[in-house]
Amino acid sequence: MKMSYRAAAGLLAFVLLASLLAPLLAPYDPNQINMAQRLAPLSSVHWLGTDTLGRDVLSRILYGGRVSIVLALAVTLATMLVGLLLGTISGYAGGWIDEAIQIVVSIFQGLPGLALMLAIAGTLGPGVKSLFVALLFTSWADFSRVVRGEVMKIREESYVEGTRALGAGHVYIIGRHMLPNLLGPLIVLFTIRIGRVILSIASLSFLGLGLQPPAADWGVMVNDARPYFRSYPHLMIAPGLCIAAVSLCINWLGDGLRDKLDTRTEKEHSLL
Amino acid sequence: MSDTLMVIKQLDVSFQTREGLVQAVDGATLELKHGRIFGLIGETGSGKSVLGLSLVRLLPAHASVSGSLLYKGKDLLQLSPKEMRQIRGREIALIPQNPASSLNPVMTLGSQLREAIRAYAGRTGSKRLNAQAAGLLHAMNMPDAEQQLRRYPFQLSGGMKQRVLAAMGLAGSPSLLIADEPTKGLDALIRVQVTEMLANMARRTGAALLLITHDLDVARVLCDEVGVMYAGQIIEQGPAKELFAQPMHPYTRGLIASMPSRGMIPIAGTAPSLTDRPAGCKFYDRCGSAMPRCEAEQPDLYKSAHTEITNKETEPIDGTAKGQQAAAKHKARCFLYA
Amino acid sequence: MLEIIELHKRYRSNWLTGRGHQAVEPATFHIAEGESLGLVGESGSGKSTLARLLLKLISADGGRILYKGTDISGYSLKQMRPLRRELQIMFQHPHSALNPRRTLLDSLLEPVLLHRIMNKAAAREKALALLDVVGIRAELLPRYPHQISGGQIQRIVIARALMLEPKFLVLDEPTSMLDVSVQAQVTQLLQRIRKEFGLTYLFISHDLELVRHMCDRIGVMKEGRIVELDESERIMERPQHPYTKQLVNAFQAFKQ
Repeated sequence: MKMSYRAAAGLLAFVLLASLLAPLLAPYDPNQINMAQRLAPLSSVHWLGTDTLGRDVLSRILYGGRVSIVLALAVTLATMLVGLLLGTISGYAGGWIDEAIQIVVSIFQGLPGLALMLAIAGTLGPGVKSLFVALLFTSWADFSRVVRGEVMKIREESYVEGTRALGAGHVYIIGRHMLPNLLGPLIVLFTIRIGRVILSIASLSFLGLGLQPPAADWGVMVNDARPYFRSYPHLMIAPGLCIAAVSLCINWLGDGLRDKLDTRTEKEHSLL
Repeated sequence: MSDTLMVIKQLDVSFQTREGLVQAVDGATLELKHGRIFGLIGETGSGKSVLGLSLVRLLPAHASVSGSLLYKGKDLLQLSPKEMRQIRGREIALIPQNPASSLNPVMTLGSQLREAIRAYAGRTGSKRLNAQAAGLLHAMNMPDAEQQLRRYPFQLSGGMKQRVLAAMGLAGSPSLLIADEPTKGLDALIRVQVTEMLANMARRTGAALLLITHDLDVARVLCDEVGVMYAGQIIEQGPAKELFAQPMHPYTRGLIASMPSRGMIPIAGTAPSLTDRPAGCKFYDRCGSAMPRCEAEQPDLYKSAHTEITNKETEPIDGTAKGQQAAAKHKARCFLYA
Repeated sequence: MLEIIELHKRYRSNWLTGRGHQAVEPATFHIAEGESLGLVGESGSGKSTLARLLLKLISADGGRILYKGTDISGYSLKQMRPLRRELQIMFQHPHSALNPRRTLLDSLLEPVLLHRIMNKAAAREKALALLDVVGIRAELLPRYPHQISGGQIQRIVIARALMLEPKFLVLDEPTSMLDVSVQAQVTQLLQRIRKEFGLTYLFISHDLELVRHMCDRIGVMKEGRIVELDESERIMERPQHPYTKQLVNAFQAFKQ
């Protein structure tokens, strides 16, 4: 566990750094078309070969990573903030406030995700911005449900009631007693979500609603490579592996962080 | 003819944990008899529940168990997991500790009881199954047994749930029933009902009952024989009436004095950690009558009549009149009686 | 010290239809300064709800609460704040009594820091003195709640309540989750600090024997109603209400 936690953090840091430094590291312009070099195999000139238009795959992965990771992180963070805010209010206040928020949550959960994304992208026009808004709209509700459940559970704990009996205000209770105890579940949720968001971005881009060519993220690259998978599998495997590795690393990192933050886990394991 | 059902000899249970070796049960020796109730009393962490679970071999995999569990002449520790499954439930049943979470909330009591009966009795007609299920509830003094079969666990009080669990435990007509804290968290009136139910059960079925409890009142009223556990050891053992009337071990005395009805005079200090138990008497640092030898030397079980019996001498409890008498004798693990 | 007049509460399970159940029927009683009043009844009889009502931790549907002669039933959260120092509560479950993510020291200091009564150094000093009173070694302070026993937690909780120098303490089944010998230790401590600090108790329990030991007077609750309230000995010797009789008999059953 400890090992994988460190390894995951290291690998993730490496990928992030490589993506951020893409302009320095990339051997070629990612959008440079070179019809003479179409579908080149792996070589010392093009480490990961070239695609159907002769663009350098390694360079495109480095640039694509910036979009994939940064966008996914931003979307998940924003979703989490909205979900945390509404979920906490809903779970803590209870009564009609809770009922009202839950009605909105139910509506959002009931809407077909892809159709909603299409509608949003259609209204705002394709691009990174509409991608962001669409993903936020379709996933905050799940987050807030989980947060609400956790908050309701913590609200019943004696120490919360005890703090109220001490005369503490709501903001103090939420800030000092609820949020720290929400951290564990939030991290787990975050790590589960982010993998899915990377894939969602990919599928939206595939539908032409996300990034506009020639810019590409890993998802677009995977999709672009589909027709050539039998003859040129590396076109798909390279970005696909990147997506898998990053999702996996984030998951491991999340597990490690959760264990580290949870003062209780150790005790539970040692019992019997 | 022997009425001895199970002989537990020199049972040791330990767990390897991150904090070190936890000696949960240390040299427990006791005997369970048909139609008799043996009470195992002790506080949190004394090892009483671990001892109960070890009898049905339901301990986690990292537990190491030694000694012998002679059930009807067979040593349960030597049986294969498959043979053990044949015995568990059918011969030795466990009534779990928490009635609230031990019943499936989305199944009626009837279907849960029928399931239990089918598991042990094999195929029978649904009419007969229902009749058996109702009969079991009836035997537990459950009012309107037939109607109860259609109800769900949330419609029952804690005491009622406890009865249903006891009925399920009895479904396989076991010879030995282990009840782990059956009165924990129950209100006063229900506690009395559950106690009466358990007493009736042992009397009617002729099964042996091992009652694990921290409730001294229940143990005193219900049990024929009682063992007091402290830090993994049975430190005193004897007929219930005698043990409560004339407790021998200073810990037992302190425990009884701690009861609200006896004036709640506390024992100073706290029980030792099971990872780091003292070498000599486990009660040494809290004991008012401690002697120098108590610190380093481990006391044996001594009879109240000031005649020493070592653990070895208690061994021939095989149903002979002499053996039984020795087992029923009141004894304590304390040098005061050496 | 406290006078409760016709205090009642109804829980609505459905806010559309208004269905629900009467958690506490109109209750009228008083608690004298320095007294220890017991409240017994089975789970769900409304004893904990009543205690929370009179501390204004939940809002009542009607009735009045007089604290030292002043009607506090209409007080806002802000108006209650200074009173919170004097009115404290201790709960049943040791394992949820303290925030699992905070050290014992943090939890112990929280009340005074929250009320800004003293600075951290002075608070620490006071905490150490109180730890001595409740019999906890200062080495335990950097630990987390799950690293100590239930009995130790309840001692810390008592010390924490004492930090604010309260006058009135609600004890909601403070020992029901503890072992007999630990229960005896904690109740002895509670009785000692009552004398030492001149506290008034409302002691909630389902254990009649324990309440008799701890309290001057006992109120018996059943289905949200106080069916009988009298001096402890009289309740035990000559119970009037049929339910009280049943309860007393249930404890006699174990005495013989």
